[in-house]
Amino acid sequence: MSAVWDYLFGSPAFLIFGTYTLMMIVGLGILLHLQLGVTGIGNFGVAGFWGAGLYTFGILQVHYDVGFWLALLAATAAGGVLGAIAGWVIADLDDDGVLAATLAVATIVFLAIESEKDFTGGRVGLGTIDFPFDIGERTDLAWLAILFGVTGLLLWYARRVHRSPYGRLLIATGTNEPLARSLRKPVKRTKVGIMALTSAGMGALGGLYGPIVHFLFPTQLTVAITVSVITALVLGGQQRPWGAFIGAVLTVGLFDIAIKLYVPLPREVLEHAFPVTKQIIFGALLIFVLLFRPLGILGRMRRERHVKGLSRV
Amino acid sequence: MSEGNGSAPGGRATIRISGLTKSFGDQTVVDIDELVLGAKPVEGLIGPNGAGKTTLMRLIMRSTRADTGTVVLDDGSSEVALSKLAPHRIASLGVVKTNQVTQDFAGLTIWDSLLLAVAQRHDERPHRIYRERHVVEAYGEEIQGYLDTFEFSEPGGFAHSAGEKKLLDLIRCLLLEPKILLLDEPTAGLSEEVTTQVIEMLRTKVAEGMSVIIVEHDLDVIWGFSDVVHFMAEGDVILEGDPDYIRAHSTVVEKYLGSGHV
Repeated sequence: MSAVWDYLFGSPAFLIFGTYTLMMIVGLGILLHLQLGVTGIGNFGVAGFWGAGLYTFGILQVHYDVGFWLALLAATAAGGVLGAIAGWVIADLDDDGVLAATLAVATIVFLAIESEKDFTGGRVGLGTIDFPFDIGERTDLAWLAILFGVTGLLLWYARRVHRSPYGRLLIATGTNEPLARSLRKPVKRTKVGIMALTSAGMGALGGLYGPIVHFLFPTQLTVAITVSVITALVLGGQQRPWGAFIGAVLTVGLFDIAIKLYVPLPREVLEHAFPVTKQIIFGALLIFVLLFRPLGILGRMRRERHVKGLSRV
Repeated sequence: MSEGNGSAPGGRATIRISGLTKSFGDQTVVDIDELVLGAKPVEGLIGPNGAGKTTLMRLIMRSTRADTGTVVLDDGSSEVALSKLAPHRIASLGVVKTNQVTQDFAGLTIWDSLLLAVAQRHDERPHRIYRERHVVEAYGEEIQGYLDTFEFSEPGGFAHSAGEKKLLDLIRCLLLEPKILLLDEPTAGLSEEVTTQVIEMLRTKVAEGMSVIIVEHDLDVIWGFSDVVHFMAEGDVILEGDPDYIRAHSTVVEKYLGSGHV
């Protein structure tokens, strides 16, 4: 029994960090679900909105000694403002235009952070950022519990949105804009609003990621994180709130936790070949799912179930 | 704008069109100097294919942008330039249109679609995630009334046939309680029985104060339902009058009906 325990939890630091990553992807995936799966906004710039929050948090903590809550609030606002601007820009674009514009937002954020030196530290990095509390060896674990709580809250909100008039407005906006307009629905405002709201959430998750890594680098904001989030969501089911969770467990959970911890790969492979191979597999998986099961493992929304439950809402 | 003086007697809202033009390439589709719609409770709009009927309706709703001209809603107490408003604002003012080509929301059930139509802006805020109960309690009975009147194969699920989607489109619009309802071939794809039901429903709504402007190729519907008929050809309304006058007019017979129709 002891041997099994040691095998499973013998490297708690790696396990905890892997679970941090998993929770981060799940959280971002749930927010992307509201954008893409519900409202039909294909955001290919997740890393940008997340990174805006991450670096806002870091800059305020490192350079201005701002307290945790205020820095987190600013990170949330940074994501939200960037989301509102992006939402306004993409509101009248077609699907291809939305993908290109959101990718451009992420690229701008990345290049701004990388090229700026005084505040972001550029390629040298920015740090250090500490947890807002210290309870000794269990601080990591406590932070993980907080991340679980935040992710759970996001999942709960997404599920409630599906059962609310707001969710119905988002679905209508995503599926037939002219028809939604003809029913008095302010489509542009709705798109700007959902982009601001969900990007604020991405910014907040970025802020919460700061204390985990302690030191921020632009390389943390590459397209890889966006690809991970999209792969998880599309694999799990972009139209379902649980889709991001299922997909993240099967991708990040498998690669960043199970294989890294429990498959005895040589260190050199783990450090060099593994991350590249992971991205290649994620990309191939994305193509495979889009070709053969475009709505992912969980499939389409089940609105008829909601109708059956209307008497109980 | 100034206080209105062009609304119909009895307080019905009217739509006043001035200098409205629309061209696609070098083809002028709509070219109307002056036209008032909605002065009578039910007004038919007929004409040959390509006369510009559907485009005129789309220009009123601003789902297609006009090249020139103004469209003004006069509800008796005020005038609003519809030609400067976004489509959703026009619908908010009570000018609503059904669709000629079947339209639906993929993924939304019949109930979803109807609840969407009735939900107010304050119900659809991101923080109002427990608002569904209120909307269902406020409008559920009215929606159920429509679903009891019109038969759907799966009322708890999705609209399947083109006819069901057409009906759903009409019910959505009626739930908005429009002042002026623009109907673009509302009975296309519907059985005779359902067509009769639809016309009866519309008569009830008209009696309650709603005005109807209807484009319809089933001329029996036009002759039997309309108080006034506008005849369009080559982008302009060239004749107006009661159904019997229009039906017998030589121009209409020549350009549209054919000599065997009268």
